[in-house]
Amino acid sequence: MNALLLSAVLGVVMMFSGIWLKSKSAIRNVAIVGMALLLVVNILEMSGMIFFRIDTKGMIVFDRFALLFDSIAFLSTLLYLFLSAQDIEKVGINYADYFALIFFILCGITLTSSFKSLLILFLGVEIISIPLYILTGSDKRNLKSNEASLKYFLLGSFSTGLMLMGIALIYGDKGSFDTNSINLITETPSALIVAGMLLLLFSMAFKVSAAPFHFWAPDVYDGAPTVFTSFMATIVKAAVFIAFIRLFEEAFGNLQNKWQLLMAIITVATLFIGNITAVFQQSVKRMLAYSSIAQAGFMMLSVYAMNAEAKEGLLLYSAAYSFATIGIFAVLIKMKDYTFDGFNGFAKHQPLLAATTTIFLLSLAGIPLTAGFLAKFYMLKAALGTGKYLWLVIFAVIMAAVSVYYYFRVIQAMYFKEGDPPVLQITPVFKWTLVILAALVILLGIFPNLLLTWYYF
Amino acid sequence: MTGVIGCGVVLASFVLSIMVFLQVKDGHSQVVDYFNFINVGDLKISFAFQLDQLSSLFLLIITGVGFLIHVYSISYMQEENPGQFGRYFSFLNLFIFSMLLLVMGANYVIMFIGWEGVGLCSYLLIGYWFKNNEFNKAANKAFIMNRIGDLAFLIALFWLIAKIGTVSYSEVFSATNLARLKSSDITIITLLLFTGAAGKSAQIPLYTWLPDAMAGPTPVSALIHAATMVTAGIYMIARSNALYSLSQISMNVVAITGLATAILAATIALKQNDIKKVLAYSTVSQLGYMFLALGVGAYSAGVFHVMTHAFFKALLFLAAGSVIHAMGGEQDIRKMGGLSKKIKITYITFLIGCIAIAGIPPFSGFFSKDAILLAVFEHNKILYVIALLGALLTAFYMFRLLFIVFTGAFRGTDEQKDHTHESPGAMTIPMIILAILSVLGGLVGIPEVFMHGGDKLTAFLAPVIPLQAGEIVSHNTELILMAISSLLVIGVVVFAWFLFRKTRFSESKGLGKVLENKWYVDELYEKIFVKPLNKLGAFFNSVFERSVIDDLVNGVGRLVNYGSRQLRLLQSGQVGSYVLLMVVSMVLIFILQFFIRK
Amino acid sequence: MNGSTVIFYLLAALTLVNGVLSVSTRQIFRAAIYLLFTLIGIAGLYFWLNYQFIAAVQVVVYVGGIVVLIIFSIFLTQQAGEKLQKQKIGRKLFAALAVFCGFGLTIIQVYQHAFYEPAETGVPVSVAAIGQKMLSMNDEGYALPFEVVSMLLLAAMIGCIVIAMKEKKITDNEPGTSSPDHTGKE
Repeated sequence: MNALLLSAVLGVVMMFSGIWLKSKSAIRNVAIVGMALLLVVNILEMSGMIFFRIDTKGMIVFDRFALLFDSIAFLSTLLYLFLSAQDIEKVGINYADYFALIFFILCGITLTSSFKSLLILFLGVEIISIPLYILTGSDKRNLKSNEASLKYFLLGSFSTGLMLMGIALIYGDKGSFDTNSINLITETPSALIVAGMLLLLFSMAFKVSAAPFHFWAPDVYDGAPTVFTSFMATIVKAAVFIAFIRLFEEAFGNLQNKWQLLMAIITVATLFIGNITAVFQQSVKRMLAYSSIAQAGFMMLSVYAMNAEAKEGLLLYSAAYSFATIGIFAVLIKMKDYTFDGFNGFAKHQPLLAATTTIFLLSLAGIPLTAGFLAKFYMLKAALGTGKYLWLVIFAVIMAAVSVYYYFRVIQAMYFKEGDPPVLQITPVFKWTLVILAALVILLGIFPNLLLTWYYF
Repeated sequence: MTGVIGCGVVLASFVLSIMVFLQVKDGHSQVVDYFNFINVGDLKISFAFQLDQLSSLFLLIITGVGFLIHVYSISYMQEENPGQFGRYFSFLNLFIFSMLLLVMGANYVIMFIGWEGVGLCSYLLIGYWFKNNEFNKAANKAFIMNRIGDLAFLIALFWLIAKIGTVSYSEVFSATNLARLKSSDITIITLLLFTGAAGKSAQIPLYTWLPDAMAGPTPVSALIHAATMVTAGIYMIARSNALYSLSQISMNVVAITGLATAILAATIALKQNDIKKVLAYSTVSQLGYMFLALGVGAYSAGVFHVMTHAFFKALLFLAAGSVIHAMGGEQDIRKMGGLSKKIKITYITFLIGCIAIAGIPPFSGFFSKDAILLAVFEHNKILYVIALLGALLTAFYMFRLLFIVFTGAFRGTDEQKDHTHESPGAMTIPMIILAILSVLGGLVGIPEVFMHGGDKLTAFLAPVIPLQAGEIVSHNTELILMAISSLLVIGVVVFAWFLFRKTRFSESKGLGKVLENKWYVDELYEKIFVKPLNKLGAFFNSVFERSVIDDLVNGVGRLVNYGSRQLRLLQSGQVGSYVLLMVVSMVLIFILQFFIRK
Repeated sequence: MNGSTVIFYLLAALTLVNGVLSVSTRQIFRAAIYLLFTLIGIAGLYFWLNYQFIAAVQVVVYVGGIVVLIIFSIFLTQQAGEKLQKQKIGRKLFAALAVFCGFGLTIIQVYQHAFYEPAETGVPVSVAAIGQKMLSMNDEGYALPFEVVSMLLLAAMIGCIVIAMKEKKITDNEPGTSSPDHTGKE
């Protein structure tokens, strides 16, 4: 509850800071301090210090799972701001509003990670989505950005419509938005419930860019300004996954035999399309867009498995994936040329950046001693734990092997090819934040319990 | 400076070893447990050292002889440039470390670590002059042959773990665990361990690497390939005596392999013309004797021979090194001769070494070899006769070597003749010390027949190696046997004197040629193992690799690429198509869902 | 067949016919107008069901707001009188297939659904009751979502400002962005 209120307030504060504060750095600093405050307040709530006790009538429950994920999301955003706040300012003239929109998105994230009522889920998803449409189109001088924004808006509205229809069908059958009462099923579920569940499944799959509802993702991620792609491909995607797993555990947990095969099919399709299409890309940014689909495929495994390991694993995965991807995008923003060839000879001219990027890529590829490896491991273990569909696990492992190809292309370009890539100015803060991110990736790869113990104590 | 550090640390180890020895002598054997090394399920392997009578004796031999050889090396290797010199000493010290680990370990795993370590050092030092390709091949050969043995050792370890779940000596040799093992298991484990030992200690059929290992610098041959590393196999079997004593089959295999190796190597040594090769085959032969002793249950006699052999064989190698040094790198004995006057100290020490190895009383070799022969006599009379024959061969080829090298006329070039000189003190002093040890070293194991309680070594080792209660030969018989063997040996020496005092070398024929070519064993191995394996490798490379693996891998790559291109086309960029595709897949999922339910 | 049923069929026909026309016409302005009538038809159904509030919302929001918005944007972007190009046959086929399957599925479900008479006649939902629910703080109230909606609207408003605020000229491409997949080799 702390974080929910504070993030909303911070959104308003940022909005006004655009009017009152004239210097860019002051606005940026307000945003960073606010972000840090948000993280601190959330951690305080985890340790029992709740500043506002509001009776939510059971519509929102801040349990450990939600709070821990919020902390991960806030920490990622904080690091993201350290890395990219200056680049956010370069996108357009309304930079204070961009920060405000980011805080509103975080507000939506706290809602979606802790909802108990479908209404709150819907509102949370919308609070996340609408600012994202704007951020995607924030580079107004760029036609591609505009196009991406419009596409995202149209397709996003479509999925919102599906979600609403699903909620309406479920309400029609159960007369309630409460997830617990939806889950109370004794006889065979009516067609309304099943249809509603499927519609919700489609809309959530759309939001996490799972195949076959992923079509928006490559175009939007590619067209949006790179700083915002970084944000929406990582923190936002992970948040929607948290909502996804929460929805299907709490509202449809008893219907598992109805949706588990569908989840498996969607997982396979997502892994396949994400990985295979990423292989052919020539632009690193577009490759990362497809890779985010591929990673979504792995995260889908947790929704499919829906057991204790899956939830733990999803938390670890969201941290590992967010850290690594934010880092890569931050480096990418500093590049002039987004193609693979643009990275040629990067290691010679920017050894530190190249080394950290390599760590991030290794983590995404799931190489041991990085967080990405353990995260994938947890996912596969969870999927094995269901005792069904062994082919799914085998397929996921094969696809993980395929992913090594395109991640290593970047490493190959950086280290084994000659070239002199032009790089924008790098600040010491940027470098240090990258090093911290890389250290976190490795630390979590060796001691995942640093994160996961928070889930239990 | 490098040399001082290199020798200093070994000297320090030696001093510590003496302290350990004194402690153990007072009856303070102990197992020092440092930390939990491997912890998997029920299996717990600790990093622990065992200091008892057997290991302390080996500690003394390794560090003592090791120190002398280090000192010798400073002078012998001084022509190397400083970097190479440092590399040499670092390998040598690493070897000492690994060897100490091997003998001090309190379980088979630690022993195995040391075992691999000494193998590595041996490989590195044989190939020390790595610019010579032949030497590299010799190093590879040594390493590969050792690996075959190591594999057997590892399997034995796993077998032990599988059957009784422990590898520490105290637990494996405890009565309860031994009772849990079936006799067939014990036989398999001991035979596998012996295969490992045969690799490391150069026994049939894995002995051919040792003569080639002479490619390394001579002090290395003295230390690793004569005095210490090659006795690791003896140590291992002596350590495992509790296991071996329970398997008569394994004991017989060990004894017969040892004896066969002893005779085979001795016959080859008869016709070798390289001074180091003769000593190498002699080492193989003597190791065979040690295994023979182990095989007939005379573990302490085997260990005794390890000790005396370390003294006189190290001495012989160092003296040979001194000869080579004097001759400016020449190793072919046909080009030597008459060196006794020019390098007197070397000559005298070499002579002492020859007497010791031939087993002429009262030199050290006499006592240890006699202990072995006596044990063999008690065990089996036929084996005794063959072993005695081997001892005579030993005396013959050693004195052949001595006479060819040191007596007669000089056969080398004039330049070598003028150049020939005695080695510096750093080389001769270790030789002199070893010579003294070769003379006196046998006194720790004087047989009962001469002195009551004279066999101090067996008594010392008794806590580790229980006394064998076998058939006891009467003292009269024992004396007669000693007299026979001593007289025969002296006779052989005299025979050699007449034969090789004035030598003419001619092309060998018949059996001589076969012996000169080492019974063609290397060629046989080449034909049976190396060539077919190479052929198989070539086949896999050309057929399997190219047409199956490559096509498979490339095919997968191409498939992915093709799929990627096709899938890319779905991403048309048009919102209408996207929505249509989404709706179509939604309908499909609905159909799937409602048909699953039915 | 009583009068009520006749009215239902008339309203349903109005909705369906205009819906089909709306997606099948090739003049976009007409499509918007057909959509308007479809929405009116749906509002009529709500009235027929005696849900005045929803019917009123339907008229105000959809008919009065959204369709007008659509017509405005058509005027701003397209030449209203021109015909749209014909769709590709493949796309038509898939669309028809999807419609057919969707229709079939719905029909099957409707036939299999066990419709039953409600135990008690529904309470007439007055506008006042809805308003009180939205702001009530007791267990049945929706005050929290109502407040959250305000946040959503605030975010949307900021978004509008950002979008509408004037900026400098439009360039074709941001440096480094790549082309979408379909502009590759095809």
